[in-house]
Amino acid sequence: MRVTLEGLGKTYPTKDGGSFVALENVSLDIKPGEFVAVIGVSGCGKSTLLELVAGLQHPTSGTMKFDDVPHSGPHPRVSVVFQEDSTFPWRTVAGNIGFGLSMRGVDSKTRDARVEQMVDMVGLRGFEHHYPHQLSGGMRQRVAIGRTLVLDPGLLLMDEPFGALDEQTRFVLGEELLRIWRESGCTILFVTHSLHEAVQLADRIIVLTPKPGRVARVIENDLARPRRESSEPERYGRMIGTLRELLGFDEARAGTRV
Amino acid sequence: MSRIVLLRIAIVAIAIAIWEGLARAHAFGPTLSVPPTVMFATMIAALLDGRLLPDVGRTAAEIALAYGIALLVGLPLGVILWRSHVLAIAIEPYLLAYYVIPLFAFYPLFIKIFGAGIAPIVAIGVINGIGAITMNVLVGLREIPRVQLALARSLMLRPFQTLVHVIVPATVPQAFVGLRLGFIYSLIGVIAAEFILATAGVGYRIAFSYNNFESKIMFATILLVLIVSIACNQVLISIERRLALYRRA
Amino acid sequence: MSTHRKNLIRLASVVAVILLWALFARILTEEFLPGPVLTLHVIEQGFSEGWLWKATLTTLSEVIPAFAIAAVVGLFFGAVLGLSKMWGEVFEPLIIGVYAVPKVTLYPIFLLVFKVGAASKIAFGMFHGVFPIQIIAQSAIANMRPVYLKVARSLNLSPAQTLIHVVMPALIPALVVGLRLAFSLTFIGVVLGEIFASRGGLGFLLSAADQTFDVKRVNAVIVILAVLGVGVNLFFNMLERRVAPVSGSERQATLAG
Repeated sequence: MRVTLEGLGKTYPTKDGGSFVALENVSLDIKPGEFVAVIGVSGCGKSTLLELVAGLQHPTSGTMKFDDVPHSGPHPRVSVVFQEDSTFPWRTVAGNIGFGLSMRGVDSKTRDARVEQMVDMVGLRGFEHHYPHQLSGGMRQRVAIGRTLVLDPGLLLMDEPFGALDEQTRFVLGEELLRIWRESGCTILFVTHSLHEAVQLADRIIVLTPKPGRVARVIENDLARPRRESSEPERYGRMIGTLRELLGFDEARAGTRV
Repeated sequence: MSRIVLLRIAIVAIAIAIWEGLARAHAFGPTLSVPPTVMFATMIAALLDGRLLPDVGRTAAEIALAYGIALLVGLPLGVILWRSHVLAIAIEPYLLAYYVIPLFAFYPLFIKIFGAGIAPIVAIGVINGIGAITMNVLVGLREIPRVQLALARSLMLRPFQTLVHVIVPATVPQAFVGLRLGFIYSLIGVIAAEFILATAGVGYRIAFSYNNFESKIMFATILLVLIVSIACNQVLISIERRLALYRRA
Repeated sequence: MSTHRKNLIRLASVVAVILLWALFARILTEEFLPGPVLTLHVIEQGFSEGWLWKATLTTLSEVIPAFAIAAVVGLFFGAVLGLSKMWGEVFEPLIIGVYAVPKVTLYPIFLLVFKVGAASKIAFGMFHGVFPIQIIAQSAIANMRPVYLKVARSLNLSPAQTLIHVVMPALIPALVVGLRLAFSLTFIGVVLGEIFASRGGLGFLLSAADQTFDVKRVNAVIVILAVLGVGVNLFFNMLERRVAPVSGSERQATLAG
C-alpha cells in the first residue's frame, strides 16, 4: 500500500488555555512494500504520528492518502502493533491471532486455515492453544504481530513493538520481522528510539526532532541486508553517527539540553 | 478545597436536605418521619444529659475487650501460621469458611459456654475480628520480599535485629489492614450481639427503642453509631494509607 | 509440598475437629452439647419432617433475589462510576464510608419500611451484598488496560463488539470475585435479619431453637448454614479458577478481605 502524508499536524489544547504542537507539517511519501523507520527522542511526536496514521487520533491539519485515496479514521487495510502487550489474556494464541478475522465475520473454516498459516509464519507452532500468560514477552509480541498480519494489511504500523524486550530477543524478532516482511510484501512504518534497530531494519529512516515534532531529515539506508556491524563496519558506523548527530545526542552529552 | 471535595459535600448536604424536607412533610409515615436535624438534636441532648452515656460506655468497654482479645490471640496466631507450613495448610479450610458463614449463628453456643451477660457478646466480637487480623498478618509476613531476608542473613543480623529492622517494617502495612478490619468487624459483632443478647449498650438501646416505638431516640442512637464508626474507619484508613506509602509497588 | 499431601493435611484437620467435637460431646454429655452423629441425625429428621427443608427454602428464597438485585444494582453503579473518572472519585470515599458502617444498626429502619416479612430480609441482604460488587466493578472498569480499547478501535469494532468481545471478557475475572464476596455478604445479611426479626427461615429457626433451649436444632442449623456458605463459596472459587488463572499469592490477598 502506498501512503502519502501531506502537511500532517496535531495540536493539543493545554489546560491553561494555550496549545501544544505535537506534530507540525509532516509530509511523507511511502512507497508500497517499503520498510520505513521513524526515530526520535522522547516527546518528538513519533507515537502521535503513528496514532494519526492508524486513525486512533484525528489530525488538526494536513491529509493522509492510502493508495491515493484520502481517508481518516481506522483504515481496514491498516493494522497496528502496540508497544505494550496487547494480547487478550482470555484467548489462546490461536484465538488472539484469529480475533480480527472473527470480528470481520470471516467464516470459521477460512479463519482457522489462515490462523494456522500465521502461527507458522510467526514461529509459534506448538503454542497455538497456549494462553498469553504462559508465554514470554517476545512470544506475546509475535502473537500481536500475527493478529495484525493475518488480516493481510497493506500497511503495518508498529509502535516500538520490541521496546519492552531484552536486547537478544529484540534482535531475533527484528530478523524474524524482516523475513515476515519479505514473505508478505506489506508496507511497514516502524517507530523506534533505537538507532541500531532502525539501521538494522529500515530502507528509509525518518528522523523527527521535538518541540514541535517535525521531520528533520530523511536518510536512505542502502546497506545490504542482512545488516551486521561486522560486514560493513565503516558505513554502518557512519550511519549511526549521522543519526546520533541529528538527534542531538552528542550535544546533550556536552551539557546542552535538546 | 478541591472541586471533588466540594462536590462530595454538596451531594451529602443535598441528600440530607431532601431527607429533612420529606421527613418534615411526614412523607415516610408517623414513625419513620424523623428529620435529620431532630435526630442530631436528640443525639446531642441524650449525650449531654447522660441518657446515652451508660449505653455508650458499656458498648465501648465490650468493643475494647473484644478487640483486645482478638489482637492478643490473632497476632501471635498469624505469626505461628507463618512459621509452621503444616499448620497453615491445616487451617486453610477454616480460613476459607471464616467470612462466608454467619459467625453470629454460633451465639446460642456462646451463651451455653459463657452464660448470659457480656461474655457471649464479647465472644462474638472476638471471633468476628480475629479472622481479619490473623489472615492479614499472615499475608503480610508471607509477602516480605525474600531479597530483604537474604540481605539480613548476609549482614549476619541477629534474629532480634532481623525482626525489628526487616520483618516488622515489611509486615506493618498489610498487618495494619488487618488491624483496621479487625476493629471494624469486632465493633460490628459487638453491636449486633447487643441487639438480642444485652440489657444495656448501644445495640440494645436501638432494639429497645424500636420495640417501644421511640423512634426519636432510636434514630439518635443509630446516628451516633454511624458517626462514630465512620469516623473511626476514616482515621484508620488515613493511617493505613500513610503506611502503604512505604510499601513496595 | 505436593497438592496431594496438602489435601491430606486439610482433610485430616477437618476430621480432627469433628473428632474433637465428638469428644467434647461425650465429656459434656450430649444433653449439653450434641455431637456430630446426633446432629446429623437431627438434620436428617429435619428434612424428612420438613421443618429444616422449609426453613432452608425460605432463606434461599430471600438470598437469591437479594443477590440478584445486588448484582444488577452493583454492576450498574460500578459501570457508571467506573467510566467517569471524576464522579468515581467523588463517590468513592462516600461508598467506602457506608460500607464500613455496622449495617445491622440500620435493620430497624428496614423493618419499619418493609415490615417483618421476606421483603425486609431481601432488602437488608441486598444492602449487604451490593457494596463489594459496586466497588470491584468500578475499580475493574476504571483500571481496564487502555491498550485493549486501542486494539478494538484500530480494528474498527462497533461499540457492541467492543463491549461484548473486549470489555466483558476483560472484566469477568474481577466480577466473579465481586460476585463471590457479594453472595457471602448477602447470605450473612439475610440470615442475620432472620435471627433478629422474622417468621421463617434458617435464622428464625436458630433463634427459636435457642429460645426453647433445643441445642440439637441449634447445631443442626449451624451445620446447614456452614454447608451452604462454604458450598456456594467453593463453587465461586471453582468459577474463578476457570475464568482467570491467578498466582498463589494474589489469591491469598483476596481471601484476607
